[in-house]
Amino acid sequence: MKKHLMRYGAACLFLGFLWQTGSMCLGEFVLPRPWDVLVFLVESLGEPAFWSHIAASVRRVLLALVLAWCTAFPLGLAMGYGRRLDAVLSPLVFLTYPLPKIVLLPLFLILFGLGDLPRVLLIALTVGYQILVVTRASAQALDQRYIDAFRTLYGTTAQMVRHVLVPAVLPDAITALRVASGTAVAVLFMAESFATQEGLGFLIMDAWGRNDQPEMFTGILAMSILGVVLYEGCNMLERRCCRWRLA
Amino acid sequence: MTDLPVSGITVRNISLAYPQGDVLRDLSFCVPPGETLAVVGPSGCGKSTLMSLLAGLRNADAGSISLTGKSGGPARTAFVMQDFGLFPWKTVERNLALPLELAGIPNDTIRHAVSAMLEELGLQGLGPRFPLSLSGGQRQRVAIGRALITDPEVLLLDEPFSSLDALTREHLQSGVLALWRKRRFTCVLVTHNIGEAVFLGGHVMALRGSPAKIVFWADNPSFASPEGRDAPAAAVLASRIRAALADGDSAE
Repeated sequence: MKKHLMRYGAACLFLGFLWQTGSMCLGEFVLPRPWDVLVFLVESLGEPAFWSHIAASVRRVLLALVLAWCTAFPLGLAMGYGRRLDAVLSPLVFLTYPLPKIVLLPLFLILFGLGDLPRVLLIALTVGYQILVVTRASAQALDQRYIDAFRTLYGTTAQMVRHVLVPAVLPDAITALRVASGTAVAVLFMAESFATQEGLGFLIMDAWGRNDQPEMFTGILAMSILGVVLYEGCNMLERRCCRWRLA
Repeated sequence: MTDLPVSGITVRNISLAYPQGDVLRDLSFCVPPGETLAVVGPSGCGKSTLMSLLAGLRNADAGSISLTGKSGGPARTAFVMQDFGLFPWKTVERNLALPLELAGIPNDTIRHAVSAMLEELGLQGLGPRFPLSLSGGQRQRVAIGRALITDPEVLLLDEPFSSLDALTREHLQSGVLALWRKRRFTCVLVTHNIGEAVFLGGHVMALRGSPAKIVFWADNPSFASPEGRDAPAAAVLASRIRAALADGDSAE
């Protein structure tokens, strides 16, 4: 853990150095100095308004990831294991997968109002595909030896899903979730930059509109930290659920 | 061997073909209850296919297989696969407990059974570890333990020692023989090692050819004898098997 934090610290120092160099080359008006942004971020942490932006973003992205996982993971398992279901659903999935879901934001705002729901649904829809496609592929690639070994123990199909399919597919699905967490933050920014007055995406675009560079970069920094926290959350989930991979 | 369980294996005229050709044709044999059969033959002759038929993992194209238990109904059967068949995401304890868990046995009973099995197989202290962190021999013992924990009437062993070094292999072969002496299950062992077949088979059957046919069958007078591997009869039987398999070569 200590080593892990030290590596993060070293990466932060390196990125800070690049940022500082960029700031010196481009000028503070385009790219404020990292130290100034850091100071502004610390000051912002004392303001309730800043926290309400953070809370809105965290709420939306977490709800979306949970919704995406709860829908896409079981569906991916069912499609990967059940050939008939896969034959019916896979053409639908692969026809709609390449569609950039973000373009549906206006439609979602019309259908679901201007609150959290359309933004959560849009993020969930985008990242759900990533989880679904990986989970399905992983379930299809499940080693037949595990299924045969389980069949010799006289378990039912439901027991096979619980004891073999889910744990075998989980590492790949968590990797998909990890990738999806990055995508989720990107889509969150887009979804919050439109028709809302809450969230880090709004904060960034609002500050940009006012030419308030330190505040804009504070929003960017906060959103990056949110991405890192989600990524680390996925790592923790993997360490907890897939302990055997560390053995 | 006066107090034998009434379970046994009867295989009648089974045949199986893959798209690329016949694997088994018109194979018949039986294993009396509480006795062991070693099936020996070269790699790719259909031994493991025969085992998967006995285990019910696939169906024969023709013929019948019956694994009869003490009650006269289907026998409680356990199968140890060539690659052990352990689930890497479950600890040793959870792997051992799984067959009982699937059968709906209460947790307390499972805990006792697992602990007794760990002791019987000399695996104390390894319960919380995952299979990937164990040696080949330890994994094999866990696989055998998982098979025996339900107290099966029929035990099927598909080349269970093939990936182990010679010393570990001999040690585990003796362990299996000791377990058989204690529990008297009906056992079929598939191997390509003639010495192993002679050591563990009360009857020895040699398969050869494509489709596989029985080229040799004999009762083993040296089986479970006090001299073990060094019994003179074992050497004689081994050379007869070797000759039968070589004849098969020349016949092909």
